[in-house]
Amino acid sequence: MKAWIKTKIIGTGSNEDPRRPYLANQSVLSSMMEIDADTCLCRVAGTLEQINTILEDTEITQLTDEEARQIIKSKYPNSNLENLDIADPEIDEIAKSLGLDPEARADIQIPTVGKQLLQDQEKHLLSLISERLGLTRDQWDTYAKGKFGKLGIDIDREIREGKNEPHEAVLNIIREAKKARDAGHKPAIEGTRLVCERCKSVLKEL
Amino acid sequence: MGGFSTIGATKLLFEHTIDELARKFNQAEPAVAASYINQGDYIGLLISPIASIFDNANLSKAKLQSILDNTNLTIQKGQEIVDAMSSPSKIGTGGRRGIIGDDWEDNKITSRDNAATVATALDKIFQTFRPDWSTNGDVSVASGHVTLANTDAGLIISFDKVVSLAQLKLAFQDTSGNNRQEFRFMSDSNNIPNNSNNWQLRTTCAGDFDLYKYVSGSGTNVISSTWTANTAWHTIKATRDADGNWEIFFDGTSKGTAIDTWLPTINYLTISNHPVTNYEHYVDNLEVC
Repeated sequence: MKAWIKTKIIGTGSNEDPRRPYLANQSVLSSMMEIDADTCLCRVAGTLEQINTILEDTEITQLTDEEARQIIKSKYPNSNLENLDIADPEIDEIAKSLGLDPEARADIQIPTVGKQLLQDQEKHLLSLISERLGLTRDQWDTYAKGKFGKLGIDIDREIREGKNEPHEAVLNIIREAKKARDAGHKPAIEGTRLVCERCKSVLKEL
Repeated sequence: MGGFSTIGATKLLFEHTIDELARKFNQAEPAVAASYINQGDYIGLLISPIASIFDNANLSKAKLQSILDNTNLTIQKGQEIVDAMSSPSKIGTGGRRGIIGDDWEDNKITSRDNAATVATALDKIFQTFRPDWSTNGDVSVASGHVTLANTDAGLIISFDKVVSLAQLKLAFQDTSGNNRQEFRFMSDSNNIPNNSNNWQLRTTCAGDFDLYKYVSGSGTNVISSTWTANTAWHTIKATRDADGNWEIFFDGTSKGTAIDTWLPTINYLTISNHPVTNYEHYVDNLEVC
């Protein structure tokens, strides 16, 4: 799971105690952009529990994609969301649990949107996971149309642009589909519902 | 020979002076593209600032050779191109302007062959530049890679370019404790282990793979990511564009991006070893441009 946050900068700057974002004592991955000497914009990635702990901390503010974009643009007009990002370890863990090698990220070496490679590599791994779970392009299209009035390819592009919200929307469905598969179901997306193709039950409203 | 016309703002190969070619072929920015166009009875080479011509996978040594063998290209012109691309006065002593690379295949740290300072041979253009290094502590070379063998052992070289790509291979021979390597690809100081002002990739055996900046001795962990420590060879890389957009890679996988336009006064590049006790760590295949 990934999230945008605004947080204070802690640390003395020594080798043992470098300046870094305050992350509610959670050992998560992060990338930071200094707003001023004491505050930073940060993208964090970790488990659902770790990120929720961070977001519950009163000294940390969660931001939307648009709020993050405005902060980035106010300081670096030529940069955007894709330029402050961190690889999501949850995706790697899901890939491993499905017998996929997370290093498949490196199959992609040319960015398709913007100049950074991270989002293209991450989207590639999400696609492999989706395929392994049996979720088809048509199914993603029905979900995107029902939920956002878009096509799957639009969500795909938004992920490659570095937006966090579509990343989380897709990851949430993958999370649920993985749970369903582990429980013996054959998950499929039907509009905005996750269903089991085998027992025909509705597993989750998406 | 056909008429070599200018297409848009881009010149064809033969419209440049030799000095212009030498400069364009050796830009520090990674930005250079070369592509072939067919125009009737000749092949022209388009040059635009997108990626180093030598980084263009489509332009192999054989293809450059074919350009030079082109009967439409006079021997004199071809020789002038080779001379210009090989001349220290045109491209900087020791190789391509703004680029440091080393494969240590000659098993030397100093008294290198200075290949790129020798003009006229096509092989020299493509040979990896092997500079003379200064060292700190126990540094040796064998089997085509460098061994940093004790605490704070390091390689040091004068370097004053803003880096757009910094890459090397490393292998830890002991993965215990806080063993770490610091690859300071833009630094104001050659002092190892002290950090004053620099950008560095830091790889630790505790499983950290981070982008750090040091400003007046104060370190900031700009990108915090991980790897699984082991003794195998790995490739680490940082890229930076002119807008201060960073991206770091571990074995070709992007670990994170960040934005920061701060730059130190750039005087040196250093690669150093910081084990808790003395362990050998390896370095190979450096490329910085």
